[in-house]
Amino acid sequence: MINAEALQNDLPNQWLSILAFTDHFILTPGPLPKEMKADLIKNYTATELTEIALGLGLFHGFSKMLIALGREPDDMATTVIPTPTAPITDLDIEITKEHPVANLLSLTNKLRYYWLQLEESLWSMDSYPTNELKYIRFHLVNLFKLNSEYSNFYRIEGSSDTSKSIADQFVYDVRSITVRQREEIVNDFGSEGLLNIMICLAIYDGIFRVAAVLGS
Amino acid sequence: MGRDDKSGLFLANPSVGERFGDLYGSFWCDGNLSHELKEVVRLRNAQLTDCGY
Repeated sequence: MINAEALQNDLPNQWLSILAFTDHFILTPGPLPKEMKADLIKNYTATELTEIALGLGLFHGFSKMLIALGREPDDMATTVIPTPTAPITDLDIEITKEHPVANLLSLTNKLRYYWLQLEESLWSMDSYPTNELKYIRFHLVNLFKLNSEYSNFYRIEGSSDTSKSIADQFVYDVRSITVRQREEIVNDFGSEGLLNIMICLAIYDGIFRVAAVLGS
Repeated sequence: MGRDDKSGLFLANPSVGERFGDLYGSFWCDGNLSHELKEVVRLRNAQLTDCGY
């Protein structure tokens, strides 16, 4: 079991600054405080910050997705996670210069391609209404107070209270998503629909946090 | 999760699982930062979100 306080006492300053960044990313996603930004720039390049922020977005978004799906194991004393292996897919996606996330990740080219491919696969699932997913995405742009590059690119008219509510819960209090809410989605769109909306939330919660923190 | 996933979450959506695995694998295997640093960040996220993964 990891004792966070003991762990932090033994960490070098370079790691402490990234832990402070992690806390900010998760708890108060928004422009970096001046002092924190100066400390990070002293210890890391812009490319390295983009890399760690993207990873953090994946950890955070997909952790919450598993919680939202009710897929946490009952007994979590120890979890063994296999070492991830290198990608095997070719980088063959076209990048449009207007895509704000493509611009955000421009310093980490391989990660940018793989993120865009993941995004593309989300929209090919086709198990939850596409317009609802787009409402959710635009709602997240507003929740994270992203700039006009994002709001112009992702803007969509209309709204759905159900989708907005789920998005609010996912961002602010993921454990408030109930079994009953999941059952209602499964009744309407099947278990694949439930997975579709949760993957959408995981991907955009993660990447829009990166934008909120680094894009300012 | 993803290509190395044993949870079966992406069984019905192998394409999404593959794409997630590519991104996640690239993050761990291709980047400039050490695995140790990335692991500390992963653990801090797990702690703050109270998620066992």
